[in-house]
Amino acid sequence: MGHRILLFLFFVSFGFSGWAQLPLNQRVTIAFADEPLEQALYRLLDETRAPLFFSNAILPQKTIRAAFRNKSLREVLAGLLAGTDLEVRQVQEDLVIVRKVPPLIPPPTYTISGYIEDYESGETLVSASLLVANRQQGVSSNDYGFFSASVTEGPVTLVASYLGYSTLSTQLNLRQDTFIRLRLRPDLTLLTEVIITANDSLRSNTRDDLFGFNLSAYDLPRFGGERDLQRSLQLNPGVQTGTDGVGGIFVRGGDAGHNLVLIDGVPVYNINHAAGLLSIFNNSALKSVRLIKGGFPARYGGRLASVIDVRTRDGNRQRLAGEGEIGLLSARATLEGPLDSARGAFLVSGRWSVINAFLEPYVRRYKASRGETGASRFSFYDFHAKLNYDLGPRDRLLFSFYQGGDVFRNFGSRQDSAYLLLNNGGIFQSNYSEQYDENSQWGNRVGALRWNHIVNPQLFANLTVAYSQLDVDLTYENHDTLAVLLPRNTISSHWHLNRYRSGIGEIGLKADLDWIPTEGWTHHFGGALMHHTFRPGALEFRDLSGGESGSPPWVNRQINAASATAYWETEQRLSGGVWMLNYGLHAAAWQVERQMYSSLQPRFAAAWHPAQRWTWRGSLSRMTQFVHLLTSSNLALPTDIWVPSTKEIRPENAWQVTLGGEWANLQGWQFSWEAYYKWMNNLVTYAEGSSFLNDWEQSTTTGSGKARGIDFSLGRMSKANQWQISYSLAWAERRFPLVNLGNPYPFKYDRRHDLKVLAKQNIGNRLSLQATWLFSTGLAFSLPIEAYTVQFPGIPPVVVLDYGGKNQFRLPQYHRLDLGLTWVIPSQNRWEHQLYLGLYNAYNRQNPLYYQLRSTFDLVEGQVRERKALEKVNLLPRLPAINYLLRF
Amino acid sequence: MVRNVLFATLVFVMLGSSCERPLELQLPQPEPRLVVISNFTHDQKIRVEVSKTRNVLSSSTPEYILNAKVQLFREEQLLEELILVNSDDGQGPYYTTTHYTAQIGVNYLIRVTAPGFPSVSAENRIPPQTAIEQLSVENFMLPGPGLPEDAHLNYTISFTFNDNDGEQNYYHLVFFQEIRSFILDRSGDTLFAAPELRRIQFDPNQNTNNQIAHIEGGLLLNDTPFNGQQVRLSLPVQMPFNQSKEIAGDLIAELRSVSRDYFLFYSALSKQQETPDALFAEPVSAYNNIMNGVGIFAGYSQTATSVRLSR
Repeated sequence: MGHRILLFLFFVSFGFSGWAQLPLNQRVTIAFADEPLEQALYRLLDETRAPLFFSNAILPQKTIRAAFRNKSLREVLAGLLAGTDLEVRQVQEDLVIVRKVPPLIPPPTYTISGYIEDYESGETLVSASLLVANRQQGVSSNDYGFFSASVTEGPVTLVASYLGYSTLSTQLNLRQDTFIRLRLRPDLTLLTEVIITANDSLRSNTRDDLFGFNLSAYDLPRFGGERDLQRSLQLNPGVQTGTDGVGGIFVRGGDAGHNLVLIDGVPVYNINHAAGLLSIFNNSALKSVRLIKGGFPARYGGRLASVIDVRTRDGNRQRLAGEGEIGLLSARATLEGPLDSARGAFLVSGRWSVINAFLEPYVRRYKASRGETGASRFSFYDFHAKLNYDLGPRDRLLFSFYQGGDVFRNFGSRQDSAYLLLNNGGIFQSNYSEQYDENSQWGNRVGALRWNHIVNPQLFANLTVAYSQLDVDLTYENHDTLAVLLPRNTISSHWHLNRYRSGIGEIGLKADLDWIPTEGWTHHFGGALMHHTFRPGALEFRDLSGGESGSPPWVNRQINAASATAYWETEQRLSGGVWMLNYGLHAAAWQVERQMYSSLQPRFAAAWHPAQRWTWRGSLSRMTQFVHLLTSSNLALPTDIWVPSTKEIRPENAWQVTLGGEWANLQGWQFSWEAYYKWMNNLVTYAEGSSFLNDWEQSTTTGSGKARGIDFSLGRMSKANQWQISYSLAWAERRFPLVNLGNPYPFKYDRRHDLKVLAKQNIGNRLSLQATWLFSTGLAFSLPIEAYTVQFPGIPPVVVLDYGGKNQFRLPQYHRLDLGLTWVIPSQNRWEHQLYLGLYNAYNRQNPLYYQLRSTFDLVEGQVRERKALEKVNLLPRLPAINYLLRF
Repeated sequence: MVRNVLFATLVFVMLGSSCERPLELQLPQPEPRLVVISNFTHDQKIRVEVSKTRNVLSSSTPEYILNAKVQLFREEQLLEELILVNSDDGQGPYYTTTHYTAQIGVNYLIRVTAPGFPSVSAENRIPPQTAIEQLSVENFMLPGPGLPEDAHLNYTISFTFNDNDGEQNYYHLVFFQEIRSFILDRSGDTLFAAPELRRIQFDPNQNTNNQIAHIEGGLLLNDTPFNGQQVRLSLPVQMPFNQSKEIAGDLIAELRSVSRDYFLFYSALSKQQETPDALFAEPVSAYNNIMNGVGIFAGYSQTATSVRLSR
C-alpha cells in the first residue's frame, strides 16, 4: 500500500510539472512544398494554434521545402528559421520570433560581501536571505552571518530579510568590491515567539536552502512552561519520540544515537535532561537551529538519521541586556553586553531546575508511608558562555562553552524486627536494618574556539578548535545488618559498593571554507582531525564487609581513536534559479586499535522551480557512522553508552533517497511533502538479554534496517495567527541475528500515523493563545502471549514466556493537548514582563509509558498463591504551568 | 473575528476528544499448544515431559498431559512408543523409553499426539563427545576465621579441552562442588552427612554472545571465538560456604557437547529469566524446535572428570 501511495505521488508530481513546457513541446505533423517563409509560418499558426508572434518586416526571402512528422513545435520552428538571423523566444506563455542578439562584452563584475546582523544587538543572523533585486540574484548568509554575491557593475538594490525582522532595502552604485553590514530591525509585533513549523512560511527567507529548515530560538513553543528545543523538533513530520517525549528523538526510522547534534559546530553526546523530558538547550542562549532529515549536505557527516545544528547567540554588542525567567520546572538568567566599544560582546546564561522543591517532600512522605526514612533528590543545570571579538575588519574570534548535567540521589534506611514462637516452644527474635544510597551524575561539557577570517570578498574561512566530553558516574552503596538475638546471638552484616562509570570525549581541529567565485556557484570545503576517547562502561563492585575482597573490579578498557574527514560541496543555481543543485562528497577515515575504516559518501540534491508556486525536490545521500549509542533501556538513561567502531563492530551506514515538493499561494498557505526510503546497514544494538552490565563488545549484534514513508505539512503564518498541520505515514523495521531469533521485526518507533496540529492566535496586542494537539499510532512493544514451565532439579520451576515475535503489539494511540496563554504585562519603562499560563495534557489523557507483567502473592487457606496481572504505567498527567519572564 | 472563531473551534474539537475511554489492551488468547521438553544423552533412556501452554496471567503450575502418545523414530523407523512414568524425584510425570537408550550421531524424531492438540514433532541428535584435557583449581581461598558464617568459597577453575574443527560446536560446561556437612556431637566426635553436589552458578553479568551462564548452573559456550582450537578457560568461582559446618570435597567437571538447539533454547531461557522489567530492557524471545508446539528436544554427549580442592 505504501509503495503505491509513493508511486502515485511521484507521477502526480511530475505530471503537474510538465504543464509549464506545453507550447514548444506540442507535437506537429506538417509539410511545406516550396512555400515562402511567411506563408509557412501562417500555415503553422493555423495548424497548431500556437501563441506565435512575429513581424513580417524581419522575415527574409526564403522558400521552405520540408516535411515534419510528429516533431515538436520547437523542432519545426528551428527548421523553418535555419540559416536566418532569427530565433524563437518564449515570453511568459507566448512565442515571439526576434532577431538574434549579437554577443556583447559583459560588464565587469564586483563582489558585495559582508554580514547580516540584528540592528539592536549586532547579533549575526544565520541563513538570512539577501536578494539583489534588479539582478534577479539571491544568496543566504552562512552560519556566521557572512554573505557574498558577485554582481555586475552599476546601481543595485539589496533586499535583506529574516524571520521576525523587518525587510531592509538599500541601494548602492557598484563600482568596486564592496563590504557592507546589513542591519535588520526586529519586527516588534506582540510576541516574539511563533510556532515552529517545517513549512516554507518560516523558511521564506531561506528558500534557496535545499535541506531541512531553520528556526529562530524565539520560535520555540512551550511545554510545561519551558521553551524546549527537543520538544519543538518533535513536532516536525518524520520526527518521533517516546511517550511524553521520553527516550529522545527518532528521525525517519533512525535510532536516538543516529542524530548529529551540534552546538556551534561541535558534537554533543547527551541532549537530555530527566530521561528526555527536557533537552539540555537553554532557550535564552540559542540563536538558530537547523534540522536536516534527508538530502544531507556534504559538509555534515558522522550520523545516519539527522543533523540538528544549533548555533548559540553571540551577545549584544550595543548595550547591556538581560533576561530572567522562573517557572515550576526551572529558573534561568541571562546577561549579555558589549566589549571594548562594541568590538565584541559577551553572553552568559544559566538554568537550574527547581523541580526538587516539589519532588523531595513528596518522596520523603511516600517513603515514610512505607516505613522508611530518606528521600530522593533530582536536579539539573546548564550553563552557556559566549565571547566574540573583532580582531580587525576581516577577523573575528569566537569562544563558546557549554556545561550541563543531571544529579539524582535516592537514599534511605529501614528497619524491621521479627519475634516468632517456634514449634519447639522456643523464641526467635531478630532485628534487620538496611541503609542505601544511590548517586547518579551525568553531564556534558562542550567548548569551541573559532576564528573567522575573510580571506577575500569571495572566500570565508573558519577554523575551530573543538572539545566535547560526556561523563557518567553512578554509585550504589548498600549496608545491611541482620542481628539474631534469640535463640542464639549472631550478627550478619554486608556492605556493598557498586560503581558504574562511562564516558566519551573528543578534541580536534576543524577548518571550513566558503568560496563564492561567481554568480550561481558556492563551494563549501574543509576537513577535520579529531581524537576520540571512549570509556564505554566501567563497573566496579566492592564488598566492604570486612576482609573479603568480593569480585575483582571489572573495568572496561579505554579506547582511543582518531578520525579524519574532508568534504567538498558545491551549490549551483541554474537558469536564473529555476534549478538548484547541491552535490559533493564527504570522505571519512577512522583509526582504532590497528583497525582502519574509510568511507566515501556521495551527496546529491536538486530543486526545480518550474513555476512560481511550485518547487520539486529530490536527493540521494549516503551517511556513515563510526560511533554508536548502545541503549539498554526504553528511557534515555545515563546507562546508555557510546562505543566506537572496532574490529568487532563495523561502521554503520545508510542510503537515503527523497522526493518531494512544495506549493505556496499568495495568501501565505503552504503545502509540502517529501517521500523517503532509507536502507541502513551494520546497525549495532545489544543482543537480546544483554545490557550495560555486560562486556559491550562481546554482547552486541549488527544488523540492518529499513524505513520508508512520506511527510506532509500544511500551514499558514500571519501576524495574527499561525497554523500548522503535519502528518507522517511511515514504516520502519529492523533485523538482527541475535534479536527476535534473527527474524525481522517492527522498529519500536514504527508509528504508522503521526499527526501534529499547532495553532496560535493573537488577541489584541498583549495576549496570545497557543494550542498543540498530537496524535500518533502507539509504539510497538512486546507482550507475552503464552507461557509454559520447565523443571530443573534443585531450583524452582522456570516459567518461559512466549512473545510470539518482538514488537508485535501496539501501545494505545497517543494523543495529548497542550494549551498556553501568554500575556505581555504593560510596562512604562524598558523592562518587559511576560506571564505564561499553561496546561500540559489538558484533557488528562493517560498515555501509557509501558505495560508489564506483575506478580503479587496472596495467602489463601494457608498457601501462597501467585496472582499475575498486566499493569499499565503512565507518566505525565494533566500538569499546570506558570512562568514569569523579565527582560531588559 | 473569523479566525478567532476558527481557533476556538479547533480547541473545542481537541477538548471534545477528552471524552474518550482509556483503551485496554486486548491480549490474544491462543489455543493451548503442546509443550515438549526432552534432553537426552548417550546410553541413557530418552525421557520426555509433555505439558501444555497456558495463559500468561494464570498460575505457574505446569499442566501435564497424561494421555499423550509419544513415539520415537530413527530414520522414519519407529523405535518405541514411550510409556508414562510418575517421577520419583519431585519432578512432574514424564514419558520414557522402556529399553532403548540413545546413541551418539543418530538422528531421532519424536512425535507427540494428544487429544485436543495438533500433533507435534521435533528432530535432533547427540553430537560426538569432547574430551576434557585438563582440570585444576587455582587461587583456592577459604574464608578467614571470624568472618560471618555466610561467607564465600573462592577459587578459579582452570579448564582445557580441544574444540573440533570444521563445524560449529556448542558446549555446556557443568561444575559440581562436593560439599560435606558435619556437626560435632556432645561427645566431641565429628559426624559427617552424605556428600552433596552443588552446581556452580556463574554471574550472568559476565555473559557474552558466546558464553552464557545457564540458569541451572554452568556455562553455555558457542565455539565461534575459538573454532578448531584448544580452549583454555579460567573461571572465577564464588559460592556460599559455611566453614563452621561444611568442608569442600572434589570439584567435578562435566563437559557436554550439545546440539545447536540445546544451546539456543537454554541460552534464551537463561537470559529471559535474568531480564528485568519491560521498561529497563527489551524481552528475550524464547527459542523453540518443536514443530506445531513449543519446547525443546535436544541431545548432548558428555565427559567428566574431577579434582580435589587443596589449600
